Amino acid sequence: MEYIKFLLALVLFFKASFSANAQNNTNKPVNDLDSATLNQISISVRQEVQLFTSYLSSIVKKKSARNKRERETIMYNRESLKQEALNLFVGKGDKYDVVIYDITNNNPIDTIHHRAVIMQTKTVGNPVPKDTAMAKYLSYKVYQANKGLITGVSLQISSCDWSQMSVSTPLKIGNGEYVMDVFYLQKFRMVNGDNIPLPGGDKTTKRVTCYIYISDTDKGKRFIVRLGDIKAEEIEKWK
Amino acid sequence: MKKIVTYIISLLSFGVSPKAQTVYFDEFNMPMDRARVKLMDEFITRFNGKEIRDERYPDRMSNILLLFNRFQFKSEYDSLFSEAKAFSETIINDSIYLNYTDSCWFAKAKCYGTLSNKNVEFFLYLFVEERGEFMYKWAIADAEGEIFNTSRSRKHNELFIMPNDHENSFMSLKRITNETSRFIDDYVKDGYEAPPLSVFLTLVRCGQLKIDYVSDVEFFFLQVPNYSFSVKYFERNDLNLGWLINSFNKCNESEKVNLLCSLRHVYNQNEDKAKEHVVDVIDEVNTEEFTDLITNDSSRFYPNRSIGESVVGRFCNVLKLWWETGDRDYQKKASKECAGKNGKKCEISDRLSLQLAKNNILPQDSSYNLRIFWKGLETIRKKKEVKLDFSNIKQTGSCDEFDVISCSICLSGGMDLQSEDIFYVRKKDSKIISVRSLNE
Repeated sequence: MEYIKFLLALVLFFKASFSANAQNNTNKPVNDLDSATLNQISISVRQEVQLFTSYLSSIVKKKSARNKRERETIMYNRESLKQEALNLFVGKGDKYDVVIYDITNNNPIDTIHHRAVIMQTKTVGNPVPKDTAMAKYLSYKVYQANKGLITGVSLQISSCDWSQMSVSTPLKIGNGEYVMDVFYLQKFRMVNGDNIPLPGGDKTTKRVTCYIYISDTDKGKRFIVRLGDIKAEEIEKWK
Repeated sequence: MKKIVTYIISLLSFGVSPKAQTVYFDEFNMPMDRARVKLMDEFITRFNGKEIRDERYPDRMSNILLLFNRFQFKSEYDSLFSEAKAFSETIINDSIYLNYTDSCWFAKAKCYGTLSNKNVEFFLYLFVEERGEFMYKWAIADAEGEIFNTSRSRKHNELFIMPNDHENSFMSLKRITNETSRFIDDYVKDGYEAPPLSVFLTLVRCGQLKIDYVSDVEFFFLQVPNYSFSVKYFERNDLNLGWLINSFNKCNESEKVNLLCSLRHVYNQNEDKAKEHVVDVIDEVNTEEFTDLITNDSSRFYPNRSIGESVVGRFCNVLKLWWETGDRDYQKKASKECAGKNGKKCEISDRLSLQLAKNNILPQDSSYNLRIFWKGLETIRKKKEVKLDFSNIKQTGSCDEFDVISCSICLSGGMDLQSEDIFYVRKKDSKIISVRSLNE
């Protein structure tokens, strides 16, 4: 029995030393975050992306109004939802400036005007992607929904499933600032007034850039997640 | 009877409800979405065996094979598939892992843009670069495309700067830029080729070149010994989709170093000086001790090091392994790092060889080739208490032809000797051509 124990210990020792060797091959870490924080970030990012898809889904959902007042309320709600969705983005999806400083004396020397957060879309059969400012993209969705341009049917966006999201490792970009990507699949589906699925729709892959700002407070670490550019690629269309 | 009815109803309900669910969610093909390698980060995780595609394939080997674009194999018996298996085995046996921070992987992005309102296509090569503690960035390393080929192969006889132009303060320089700007290359000295990256930067800075969109991004990895492979994104109605290994090729380590050096333009900066075969002493770079060059891995590829450092690192490693084990294979490996058959053309005149000659172990001579040097070393190795150690391998100079590497060699126990040696490594074939002592 003692002999077996000794052999087992020997095997474990070699296994440990080999895995340590393997670890030597791995390179420098890409961030300074512990596993608990990484886990929290992963959850926060997924929640934020899900929130965005649910806002988008609510904006384009067809709602019937019996009178003018009801119609106005629906339109107002859509506008508020659009604003809520924009609040999820870095700089509220608006344009922003980056000041360039002289590295020697720290004096500002130039200002770069950056475009707003963009939604890059690519459709089946057209390899050229189209860039639209996020605010403009959402406004167009609100306009489409208000005008009932989705004739006869409403557009249902199935909210992305937690398990279908893929989250990359956060990469450090500044003090307490990190960037990462989230991948998910989204299905746009035609449904009728009773939410019965109709033929027609498409499936898109989406890659969202997420910015994470971490600050230490009295109550522990505070996370702020903001969404950045979205790359949407239509991969399947059905009629 | 009641029981039977309940049973039938429950059976029917089980039969119907899942079907209804399937109809509604059928567009989300779960196995397909699970199999899809969605992000490059996910590719690296699966390659490293930290994540598996599904429970049916629990081992790393199967997961690596699943990362291949299977459409490149005709069948299971395809020779390419056997090669893919060998490639995967190398990864497993050599414990190769990919890391985001590795310097031996790069991206090739196909860019579509406009140059003076004309549609153009070109490639940009990007590398990961460190920009602070735990911080990295992608940096453009090179550009490739027809639009960057500015130097003409044939010059026009009619266009040149007049031989007497020096007398009138090169007045015609104004004319060549205003009147014959299209043929500006005709006025450049023979043999000059503008680096594509410089051309790219100039065109962008002048506002002439604009990128409209980027597509077809391909990642190249050089971490696997004797192989290089590329990864591309595939979108199709199949379980083999996402970021997959598009191609893999046999590639020796010196080819990899040359490729990386050419892409990063590491030693092309002092072109004129290099042409005169002048060795510049580099003080500002590579001053740290490269302890990572001394490992027990004899065939290691050093991604962050120059050709010379990699060669000397490998040479020292195999020499140390031979010293410790007496295995002649290591001797052969060390000889392979030197010029000529069995290192015959490698000239050694360091302190150790002179000491050996002094003790009549080696014949009296000013320099020795590696073959003779082995005999001297073998004599000392037999004295078991003598230990051989290498340290502080660093690059001290470089020119067009060779890298200059310094290395401390220490013999302790019975024969105490401390020598600071200089290795000259020919860049053309990555071979050590000469070893001399710095503190002669």
